Order: sequence, then structure tokens, then C-alpha cells
Amino acid sequence: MPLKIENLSHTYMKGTPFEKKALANINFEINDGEFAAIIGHTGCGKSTLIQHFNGLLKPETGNIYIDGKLMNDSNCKEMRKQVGLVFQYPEYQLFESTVYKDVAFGIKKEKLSADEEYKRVADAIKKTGLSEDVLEKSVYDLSGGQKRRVAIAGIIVMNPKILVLDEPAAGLDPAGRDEILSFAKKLRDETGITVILVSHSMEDVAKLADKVIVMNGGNIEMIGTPKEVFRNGKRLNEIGLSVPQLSAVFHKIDEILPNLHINTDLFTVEEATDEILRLLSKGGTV
Amino acid sequence: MKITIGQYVPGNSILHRADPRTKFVLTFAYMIAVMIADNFAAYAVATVFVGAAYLCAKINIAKILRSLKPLIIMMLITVTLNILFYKGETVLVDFWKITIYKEGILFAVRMLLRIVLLVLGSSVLMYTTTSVMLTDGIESLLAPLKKIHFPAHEIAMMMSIALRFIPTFVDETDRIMKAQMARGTDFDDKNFIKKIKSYIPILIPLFISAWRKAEDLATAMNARCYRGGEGRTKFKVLKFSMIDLLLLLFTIILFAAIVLLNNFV
Repeated sequence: MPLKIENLSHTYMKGTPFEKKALANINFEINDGEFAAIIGHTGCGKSTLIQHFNGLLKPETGNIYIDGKLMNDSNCKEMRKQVGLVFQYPEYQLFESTVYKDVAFGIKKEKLSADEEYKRVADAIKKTGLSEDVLEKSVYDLSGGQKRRVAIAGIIVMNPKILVLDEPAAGLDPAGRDEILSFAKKLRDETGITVILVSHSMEDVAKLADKVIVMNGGNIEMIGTPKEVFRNGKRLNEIGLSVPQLSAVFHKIDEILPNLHINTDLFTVEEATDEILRLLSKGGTV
Repeated sequence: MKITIGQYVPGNSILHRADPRTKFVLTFAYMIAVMIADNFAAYAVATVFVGAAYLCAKINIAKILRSLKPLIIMMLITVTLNILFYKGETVLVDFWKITIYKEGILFAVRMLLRIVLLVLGSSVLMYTTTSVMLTDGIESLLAPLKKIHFPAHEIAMMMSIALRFIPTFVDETDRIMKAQMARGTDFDDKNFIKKIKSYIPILIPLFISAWRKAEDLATAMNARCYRGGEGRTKFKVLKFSMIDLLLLLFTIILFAAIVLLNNFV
């Protein structure tokens, strides 16, 4: 489902001495089935922005269109079902006695038959990479990464058409973060939903995203494909971000040895390996 | 959703700089004075005293009125009950079973004044003193009770920890509420039972997080070798200064004035 943001601005605690401009005139579009990433320094307005996507925060000025429909006060609860928002550290929102009950919480209002409900819950939990065995366990018997996946399943179970993940990998071990991120990618590839990922990891963004939105101080700094965005390494450094490490290394090589004509538009270890092998097989002189 | 607790208004007036212990004593004496005052002249003195305190602390009138707002219902009930049930001599209205006396109305007005003066007076303390200073003051004033094994330091420590964590839990509540709203919880439900039920998904995570935070804090305090109040020095040492002497002098004058007015007017 496509998402369009038009002239969005937001100010916290307007009219008090604590007034703070969080978002200023934001414009962008995310297409149906796209994997978009939002990056930016802490406090640049990322979390404020994503809370507008499902109407938890109301825009001060500007419009939000989901699937071409303008979001307003009367339909924002309807819209909320289309946009699944997973907050940072979502495992802290779990409260039920068993995993099953917690995941089913979001669809209780739909008054499904028991079979139907079980099917939806089991389906959601399997999508996140957990097995059906955990359903009857207590939430507090699970590991951190498992809890987080249960919390994400609690959103997926509502069948959102847009899934927003706010730093889903924060605080997880390397294996846990790979699993969560590859799950997001797989979910997009298999079901075609739109995924929006908020992240601090340039590597993850470069690897996963089709479109990168760079935010700085409540404004949009750049929008583009990872290749386009990470070419502006200097500007990214200025606003407290970086480029993927491999990219930085290859840019440095290019700077020292311009005759090599090394390809700098690469972000993953595989791409880097291929490029090095290509240069070696060419047998070029340094 | 925003909750504001802790009414401290930053400033640098005499009242802001005064020792919290002085302010406690002053507030306490003022409250007793207002309680024993029983004629309008005495109330006038107390009003002037409170007015002077607010002027001195430079707190605007809107804030003062806001502090009275939660008490409107209580004030209305007090006034109505006193007017209706006070038995005096001069009858003003005699209608059906209701008899209203002139003394009743005067008494009701006095009660109203008393409540307003008490609230305004004690608010000055809250407006001009940070929570840290308040608890420090309490600890210091309760210190003599340590002789009879009264845990003064522990109580002050618990108070300051509780105050410190209020904003943290407000933020946390806000976060969890939003997370549950994203999962379809509806807090606008008209049905009362459903409305209460919709808060369970907030209270349980909040409670768990409170336990975790308490444990973390205990570990952090242990790691810094915290072992109670004995021999513990303070970053900010309370000092009794000229300002405090002056304020205490004012308190004595107020007290004397009210006692005199009570007896001779």
C-alpha cells in the first residue's frame, strides 16, 4: 500500500516555554511494496514522523495519504489497522499470560471463530520465524529476541498493509539482528507489503532498502536509493551519520589510487569480494 | 497526554534562596496562625502576608488561581453545608424547612477564606522549593528523631526517589499507551467496564518495568557503596543565613499579630 506525506510539520508542546519544532515541512512518497529506510541522528524526528503514519500523532499542518486516501480524525482508527507500527523495544508492551493470548490481543475485536483466530495467530508467529510450540508458553520464559518477535507477531496478526519497524534490531545479539532483519525482508518479498525500517545501522540499510530517507533536525536531507545516498559520504558525516564501512574503505582506496578505477558503489561483503576479484583478475598495475 | 507534577517555579527571590527548613517552619506556623484566626481582621493580616510572599517570589496570578481549581468542589460543599446547617440568631431566610442565618453566612465565608489561605500559603513552599531541597529539609528537620530510631534518612531518600521517577513513569506510560493503541486498544470506549479493562495492557507492562527499574537502581546504589544515612555527606549543605533569620522574624510578627487581633478586635 503506498504512503504519501505532504507538507507535514509537527511542534511539541506548542505555546509553552518548552515548545520544540520536531518536524518541518516533510514531503515524500513510499510506493506499494517498497522497502524504505529512514535514517538520521538521535532526536532528528524519526520517531515523531513514524507516529504520524498511523495517526498516533496528529499533524500540525500537512496531509497523510494512505492508499491515496487522506487521513483525518474520523478514519484514523480505520487507517491504524492498515499501518502496523512496531515501536522500539516492543517486548516491553507484552502483558498477557501466554504468547498466544498476547499475539491474539490485536484481533480480539474482530470476533473471529476460535479456529480462525488460531490460524491467524499461528500464521503470524510462523512468519516471524518462531515455531507454533511457543504459543502456550509464558511470555516471560522466552529470550529477548524471541520476546521481540512475539511482539512483532502481535502487530503482523492484524494483517497490516504497511509495516513500520522502529529500530527492530536494537539491543539484540548479531544472530538475533540478522534474523529480525531477514524476516522483514522475507515478509516483504513474500506478501508484498510495504516495509518502513527506522535504523541506525548503515550496513543494514544499504543491504535491505530500496529507498533511503535521510533526516536531519526535523527536515528531510536526502531521498534516494542506497547507492545515491551513500555517494554523499561527506554530507552524511556532517550530520552525524556515516556510510557503510566497506563503502568508506573503497572510497579511500579510490582516493589514494584513482588509476585503479575501483567501483565504490558497493555495500555488502559479497559485492566487495567480487570487485576485488575482478580487479585481481584484470591484473592491473598499481 | 502530558502530566505536570512538581510545581517548582525557577527563580532567585529571597524565598527561593531561603533554607528549606526555614520555609517548612514558616509554612507550618502560618498554617497554625490561619487555623486559630477567627475574625476578619486576622484573616486580612494573613492575606497580606501571603500576598507579600507571592509578590516576593514573582509567581504570576494565573498559577495561583490554577492551584485553587481542584478545590472548587470542596469549597462549594463547605460553604453550602455551613450556610444550610449553621444555627445562629439573626434569621435571613425562612423557607419551607430551610433556615438561613446571618451568622451562618459569615461563618461560611470565614471557612472559605481559611481554605483558600491554607492552600495558597502551602503552595508558596512548593513553588519556591525544588523537590531535592524539600526532602533535604525534611530529613534535616526529622534528624532529632533518629535518636528514637526513626528512619529519617530512609524516608527522605524514598521520597526523593519517588519524586525523581515520576517523570520517567509518565514517559513510560505514554510509550506503552501508544504501543497498545497501535495494536488496536481503544481508550475512548464509552462503556465503563470496558474502559477499565482497556487499561490492563498498560498497567501490567508498567508494573513490570517499575520492578525492573527498582532492581536496577538498587544495584546501582550498591555499586556506589550506598549504605544508608550514617556519616553521609551532602553535595548541597543547608545553611542558615540572614534571610532565614529575617523570615523567622516575620513569622513571629505574623503570629503575634493574629493572636492580638483574635483577642482585642
